[in-house]
Amino acid sequence: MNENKKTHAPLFSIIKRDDLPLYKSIIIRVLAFIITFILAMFICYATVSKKSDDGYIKMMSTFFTGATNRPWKLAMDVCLLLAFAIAIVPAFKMKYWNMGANGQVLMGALISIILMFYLNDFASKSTFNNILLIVLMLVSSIAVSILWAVIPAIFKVYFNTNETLFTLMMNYVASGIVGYVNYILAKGKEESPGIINLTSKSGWLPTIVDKYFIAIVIIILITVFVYFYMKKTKHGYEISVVGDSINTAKYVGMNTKKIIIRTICLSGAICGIIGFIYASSINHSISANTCGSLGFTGVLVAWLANFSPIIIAGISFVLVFLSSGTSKISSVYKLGNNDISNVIIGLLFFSILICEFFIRFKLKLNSQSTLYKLIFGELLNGKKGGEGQC
Amino acid sequence: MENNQLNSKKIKLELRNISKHFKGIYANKNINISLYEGEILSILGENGSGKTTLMNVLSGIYTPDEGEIYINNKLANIHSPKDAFEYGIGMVHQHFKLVDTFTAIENIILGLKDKLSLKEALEKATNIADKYGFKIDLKKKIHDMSVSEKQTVEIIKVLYRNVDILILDEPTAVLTIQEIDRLFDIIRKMRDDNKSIIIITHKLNEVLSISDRVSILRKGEYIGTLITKETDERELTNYMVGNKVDLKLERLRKEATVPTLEIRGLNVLKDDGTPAIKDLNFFLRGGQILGVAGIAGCGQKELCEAIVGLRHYKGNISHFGESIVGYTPEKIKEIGIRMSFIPEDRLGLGLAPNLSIVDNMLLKSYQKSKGIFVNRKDAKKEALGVIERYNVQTESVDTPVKNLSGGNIQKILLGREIGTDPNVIITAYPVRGLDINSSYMIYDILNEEKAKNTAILFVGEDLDVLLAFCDKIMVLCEGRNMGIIHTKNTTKEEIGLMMTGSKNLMELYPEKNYGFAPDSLIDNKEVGK
Repeated sequence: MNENKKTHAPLFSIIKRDDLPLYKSIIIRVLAFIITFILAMFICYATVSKKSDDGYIKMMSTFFTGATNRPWKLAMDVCLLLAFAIAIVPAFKMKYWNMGANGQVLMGALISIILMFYLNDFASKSTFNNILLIVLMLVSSIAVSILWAVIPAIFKVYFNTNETLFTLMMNYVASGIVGYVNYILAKGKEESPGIINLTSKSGWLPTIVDKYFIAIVIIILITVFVYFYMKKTKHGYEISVVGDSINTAKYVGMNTKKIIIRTICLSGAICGIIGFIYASSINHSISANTCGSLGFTGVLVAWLANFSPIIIAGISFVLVFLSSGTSKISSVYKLGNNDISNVIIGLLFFSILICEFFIRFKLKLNSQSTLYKLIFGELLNGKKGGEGQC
Repeated sequence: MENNQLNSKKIKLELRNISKHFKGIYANKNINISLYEGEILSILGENGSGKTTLMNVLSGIYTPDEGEIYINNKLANIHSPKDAFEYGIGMVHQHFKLVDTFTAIENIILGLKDKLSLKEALEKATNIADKYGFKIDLKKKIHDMSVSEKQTVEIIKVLYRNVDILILDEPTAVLTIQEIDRLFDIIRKMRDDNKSIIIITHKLNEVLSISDRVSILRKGEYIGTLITKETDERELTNYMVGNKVDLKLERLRKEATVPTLEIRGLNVLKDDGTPAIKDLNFFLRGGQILGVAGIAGCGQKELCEAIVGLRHYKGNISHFGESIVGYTPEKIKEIGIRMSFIPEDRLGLGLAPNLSIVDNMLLKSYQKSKGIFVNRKDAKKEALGVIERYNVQTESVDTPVKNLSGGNIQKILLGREIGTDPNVIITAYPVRGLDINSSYMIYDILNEEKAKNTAILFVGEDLDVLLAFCDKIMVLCEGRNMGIIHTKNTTKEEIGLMMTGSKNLMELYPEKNYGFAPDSLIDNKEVGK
């Protein structure tokens, strides 16, 4: 047999951690955020210093004003991302890969916009009529979004189609429909009718404390609801069983078809409420880009948070905070576009991944490895053993 | 004599003081095993005795914490399966690692860097197959293959890499009796070709029939090595479990009661639409255990699934004379039929692997609590009860079920099912993969249920167990009933003949009206229509 063969012992072995105490995992996460933040500021400064003579402190203050000068807007943006992620949680827990949150929200928003457009005269007559319109908008948004979400679910349940592709495709259909309806509403004169009911404010959520206040409260209520729904209710329990082992669910007598469709309806209903909020509180207008890529960012956030609503809220906050601060920097220092913000968000995701890795695993130095011997062999002077952990 | 003959052979492989621990618990502790050239060595041990860990160390999947491996008297550094191959060590895992959409030959050459064309590779593989007497079409795709064909591909794959130490992990678990014989012939041929073979198993009769020597592990420790010819089943068992256990299974003597479950003219299809069960008639009495014998895959799975409402069927199933045809699994559970089913994947049916023990206890009871919320308090009490009663080894009640060992998982499943006080238990391979102590605990649980007048259907694979444990045995052959016999009136040989279809009691004695209870509870007019 060949005796001169090389064998490679890796320098580190990856070992699964036993249960890490909660406080430690929180410390790791906070540390990860602080390190990312410092790194992010460093990158910002490196870019900004080429454009301007402003010092580091000045740039930092620009960042913080950008992030905090409109706290309600910040809160609304955080809540939006949170809402998208929360809408996805029940479906994903069931291993139903719903990639269509964008489309579902768009369709929900669209029906509200249409109602606002055509019922303006009716709603302007009295406050009661206006409240009626708002309720009607909410109900129809929920209904339409449920419809949009449940079509792929029905195909999945009865014909075993792939829901990832189907929901993804439904996004394109939705943005197509939005474009067409905009064209009709604008009567062909322009691309879109713009902001609906700008003067009459029919169908707009009233301003209490702030323009966004009601919307934010709604989303917080939804989050709390989903948290308890998933954790404490029979429905939530059924979802976790279906997601873990569908055969077991069938065997214990769960109606899996019903559970899947019911859960997707819930997911769709939350999307409908988001759509309603877009129409009544945030944009009062619609375009194919209304929700940007929040439907997909929401998936990432939900995954990274391991579907825990509390962690989702935390990650959403950090993400929106960083990105609005850097947006401000790029506009103040005329960096041309918002790429710097994307770089920093990428950095943040990266650091979340790394910190999740260290929460679940630890590294052990491998004293058998050639590299180890090369580095530490002299130092240890033949001493055996030696474990390092990080 | 045998000893001298072995001593004259060269030592091929030596494990010296191998230790490996997980979470502070030793899976292997100071293991010393040597393997000669041209011998078959069995590694025998209960579940959790460290057999598979040891073989994973040898094949490079784990790195040992301590100890050395010597091959041909030289220190070997094995850190990956690839290293193992380079040292001539190949392992055939219990769960095959093949690409389903590739052909056999494509799987065989997968990952190799030599410059052979597919045709040349095919030639080389065919030569190997011919040399040892494998019968296989190497151009067939894996997903069209039977389990035994897949295993053949795995073995050829290893041989193709010129190994001379071959490790087989539980190779017979998935094979029929005839296939096992064929496999053993091939293994003997390999031995005669001067290859060294390690077989991991816990079936004693196989150890005795195939191996030259047996090394025994117990709770991660090396107990000793015996020469197979100089030992017997009893000695091996004693070494394996430590204290003397009585190999005799208790058949609980008791009067059977009424026909609880009656099945007439049952026809069930397999997933691919071919018939699995054909015109089956039988009945289960309360307080009686009916064994089901048959070669693997001749309708046992489909039969069980049909009874508990998981599979569509034609025919009549009656529970205390009431037809339950077309009932959903939910409704069937309501009337007291419970199934504990251990298919190849233990966690596939009946348990949710990632959920905690408490949540798995909840599976059958969560709907009973009032309101929309789940009541985990009672489930926790129940979980603690099952853990205590059946001595389940677990860190806590919140541990995910998949982290438990096979025997403990089975105890949780059975404990939960029996906790609901069923009047029919359908159980398939309940002790598959369990060690002797756990197996006996399962048999005891079933006997306790029998004493409570529960009707039990016991699908088994070990004929010795079926004969010792059941009251009657129904033999299936290709989905047909070959006859139902009292275990005290039959022999292993007779059942063997019936399993292969060479003896059909139904045809031999049609007047006996097998499968129809003389005191049937079904209103016969109802069956007629």
